[in-house]
Amino acid sequence: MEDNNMAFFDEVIKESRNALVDQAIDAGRIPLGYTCSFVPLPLLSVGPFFPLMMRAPGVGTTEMADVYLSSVICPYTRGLMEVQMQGGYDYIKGWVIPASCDHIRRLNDHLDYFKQDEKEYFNYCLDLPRKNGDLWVDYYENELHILGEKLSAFFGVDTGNAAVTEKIKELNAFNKLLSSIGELRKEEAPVISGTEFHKLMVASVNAPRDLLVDPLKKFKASLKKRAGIKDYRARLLVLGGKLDNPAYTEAIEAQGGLVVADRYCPGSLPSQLLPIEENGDPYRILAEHYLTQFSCPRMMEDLPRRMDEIKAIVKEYKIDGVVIQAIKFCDLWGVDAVPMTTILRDAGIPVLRLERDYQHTGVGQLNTRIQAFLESIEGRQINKQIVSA
Amino acid sequence: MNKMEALVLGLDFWDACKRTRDYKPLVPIQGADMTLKDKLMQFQYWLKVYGRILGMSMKVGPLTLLKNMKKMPWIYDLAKANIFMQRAVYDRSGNYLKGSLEVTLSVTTLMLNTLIDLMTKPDLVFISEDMVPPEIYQAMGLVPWMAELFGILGTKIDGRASERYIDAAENAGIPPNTCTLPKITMGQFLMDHMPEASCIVSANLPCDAGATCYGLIAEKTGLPIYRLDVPHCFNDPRATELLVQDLKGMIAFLEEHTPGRMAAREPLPRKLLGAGDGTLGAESHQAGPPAHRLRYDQPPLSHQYRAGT
Repeated sequence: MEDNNMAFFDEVIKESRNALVDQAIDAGRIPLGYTCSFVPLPLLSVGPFFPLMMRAPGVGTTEMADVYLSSVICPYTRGLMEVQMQGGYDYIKGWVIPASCDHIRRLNDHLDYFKQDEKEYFNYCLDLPRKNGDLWVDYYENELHILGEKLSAFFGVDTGNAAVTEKIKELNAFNKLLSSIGELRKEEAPVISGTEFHKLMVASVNAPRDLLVDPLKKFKASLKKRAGIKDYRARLLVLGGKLDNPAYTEAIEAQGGLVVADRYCPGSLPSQLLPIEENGDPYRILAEHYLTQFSCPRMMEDLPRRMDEIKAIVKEYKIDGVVIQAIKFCDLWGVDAVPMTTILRDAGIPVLRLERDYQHTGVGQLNTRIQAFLESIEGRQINKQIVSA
Repeated sequence: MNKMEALVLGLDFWDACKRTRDYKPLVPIQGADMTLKDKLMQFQYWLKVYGRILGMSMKVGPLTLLKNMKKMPWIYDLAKANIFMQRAVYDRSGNYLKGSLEVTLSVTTLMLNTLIDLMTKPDLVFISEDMVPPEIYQAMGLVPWMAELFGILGTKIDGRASERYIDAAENAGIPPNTCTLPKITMGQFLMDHMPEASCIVSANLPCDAGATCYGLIAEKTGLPIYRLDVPHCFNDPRATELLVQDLKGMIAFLEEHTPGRMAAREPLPRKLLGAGDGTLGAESHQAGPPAHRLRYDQPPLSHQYRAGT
């Protein structure tokens, strides 16, 4: 199924600093690093800015980061810290780190700790609420205004309403394109695998979006020539926290499962690609959109909505089984996965819970668990057929 | 109570007595090198602790106490308070010893008073997380039961008393690397060893596991829950104002789900309220976010799933 169009995206996601990032920097643009899907991308895209979701591909061990971070800090955070300490993010000109979880907050503390030149250093810790009522949307809107003002003051970039609205429109157009590819996975015989779509999603946060539009259009056109994938054993939904390595999805699909829906960071469901309102105060719109549309266990009083969303995805994408993957030491997903598993199983949906490292390790164990899960799904389907006959 | 229940209760009690009798503290019992004066002083406090435990059982009534011990068997473990005292004062003498004994006795007394309220005023009981400021609901005349209390205190009294709750949480799927304090709390709810309560109030503090576990607890118990969102930049005046509004929302929630009323008690000090008229009467906290203004205000999850959705 792999083709030359996909090879382009393979190259983009191989390293955090790829040819497209270099191209943008050479053109005088400013990369801003962020870590969480709750960060409003249009605001980080105004003027010469382009946002990059921080990744640490290829980091094996984290000896230097381990000196500063506790051993129970999640390996994603430690991976980022390791790359940062090795100077791997020197090209990042500013950081916008939301207070999304305890671990990322520690990363933020250490970024401040390691700053070398006050004049050259920009880091804003977004105070991201955990509730999404009107009061908290107001608060987040205020936070975004402060961020906009600070970006403007530090970099001399116009972060006014018109500039942000323009970027909202651009993001909507880009997401529409990505979404049109993602929708193809609803088909009985999808023309795109879960691994390929995962690569597109990772690429979309690992390079300036405007430089990905043409390759994406070309890739979408190439899909028309493909035959649909029919030889899969089960249609799967993978959900969980940070998963920016498509090799994980590839390992699942190598066992015969077809990942047709993704609900993780940076996944597309349930709302990552939804259009943002283009008319009105852009700061208010962004605060409301990101706080109320995005789903994460960090949000409180929100479990019923998240479960409804997942059930809707299961129905819409004709899911046979759900794989919940949580990165090791992630308390948010580790704890939240328990009621989530119970609720999904009570609804008759097969669930597999997996814990994983940030890097793609333990492939043998993963293969065994996936094989067993697929067999159990097939067993259920055979039982259903017998009962109905 | 039928004969079978009485038998089970008796066996539980006997088992608890045996566990208490056979308990071996992790530190050796101090004795040989103590002065006679210190020994007498420690013995005096030893008697006081047991005296107060006895006083609690008299105040509550033996039958009520036994019923509650059946529902919450960890009360047995709290009865080992003197073992905790031995550990707390180990290797101390003179005034240092006396001070430590006095502190231990104060903690025991505080704990016993809380248990008395818990058992004698069940209508006023609600579950509270350890990081929620208690002044407000104490002013409302309510009886908060701090869900993490046994995880904090019980573990100090007997390091092994909480193992069953940790096991229960891990058997339910909580990762082994999650902090043991929320695991003990979750385990108590999963084993249904928590008091009957009308609702839950929690916060996003102190950590991710401690905050997230209340999603599971609300789902397990089906109780309505209010969760305070303490902003990250808590020194910012905007954050203070947001938290004030959130606390007012909590008061409205408690007034909706419990018999507690803010107006029935003394007004809160002005410094607790931020800008305002110095009271948290009916008018002042109406300005807060009543439950229906929350964007995703929904009935507790369990209610929905029990309804078959």
